[in-house]
Amino acid sequence: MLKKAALFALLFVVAAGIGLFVGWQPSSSRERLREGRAFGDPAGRDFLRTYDLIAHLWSVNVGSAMRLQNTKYGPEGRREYLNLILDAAQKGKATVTDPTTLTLIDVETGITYVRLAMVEEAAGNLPASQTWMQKAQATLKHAGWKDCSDAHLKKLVQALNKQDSCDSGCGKH
Amino acid sequence: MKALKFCSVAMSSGLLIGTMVGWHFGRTITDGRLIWEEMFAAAGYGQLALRQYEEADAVHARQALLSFTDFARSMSKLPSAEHDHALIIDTGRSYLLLAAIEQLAGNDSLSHRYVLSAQESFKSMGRDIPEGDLNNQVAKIVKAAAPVIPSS
Repeated sequence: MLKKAALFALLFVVAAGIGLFVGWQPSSSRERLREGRAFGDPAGRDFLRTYDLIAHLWSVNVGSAMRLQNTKYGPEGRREYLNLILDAAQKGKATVTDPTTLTLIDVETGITYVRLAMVEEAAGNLPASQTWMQKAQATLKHAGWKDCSDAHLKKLVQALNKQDSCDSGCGKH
Repeated sequence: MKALKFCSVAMSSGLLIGTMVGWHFGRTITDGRLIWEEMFAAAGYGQLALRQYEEADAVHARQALLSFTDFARSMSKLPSAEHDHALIIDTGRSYLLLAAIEQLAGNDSLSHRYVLSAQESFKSMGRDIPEGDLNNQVAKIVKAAAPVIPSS
């Protein structure tokens, strides 16, 4: 009797596992299709590419801001995460054509350069810090920023680190 | 024959229940992920546009805010953005910032149009804010921004 019950349970669990996968895939795909249904034309596809890129960039931005605020992470961990933003921005720029969106990606890139400069400065790598800061200043100036001084950018990024790391835990803004 | 019947009952009941659970959670978890993605995209674009307003010259600030309002308009067609009031508030706020930029630039009629767009935006979430109140908000923004935004 016990053997029979165990066999029943085993067969039931195996079939339920298969069923879980069989049910999951189509319902998940259906929801994704429903999400993008209104964007079938070329302009819509452009929008979806920008949308995916910004969502990805911002999720990595929030993650990196949290790491910059958390003393548990050393320079290596912080660098690694900040480089993820630069990678995502670089890859993303190849898929976006709208000049204003490209400028906004440059703003995110410029802010990431400032963060890298501050990480290197804290680690005592002053030449690397200066190089990142120069790249930040050139990028942000190109994006139309009025004040690209070291002091202003550092002060701004310190405030952004607090704000962006709080974004994930305390709400959107 | 009896054993086969026994096995098929176990398998078919497992398959049926598994499929139902999989369908439910596949939909729920994917919906959650899509809402999460929508929140990141809206917050990201909104914050970057706001950053441009605060840090860049009037030309770049204007472009960024207009781009955000276009982006938000497209986003509002997404099922995941259906209940995102933050997106509507950010859009309304961007129109008010645009109104302030245009007022500083001396384009009063365009500024007024942006105030009406802001009003329309807030109205879409059930908040009918009188035009006078929105004009007061624009005046406050103009007062705060006057020394930093040059007219163009």
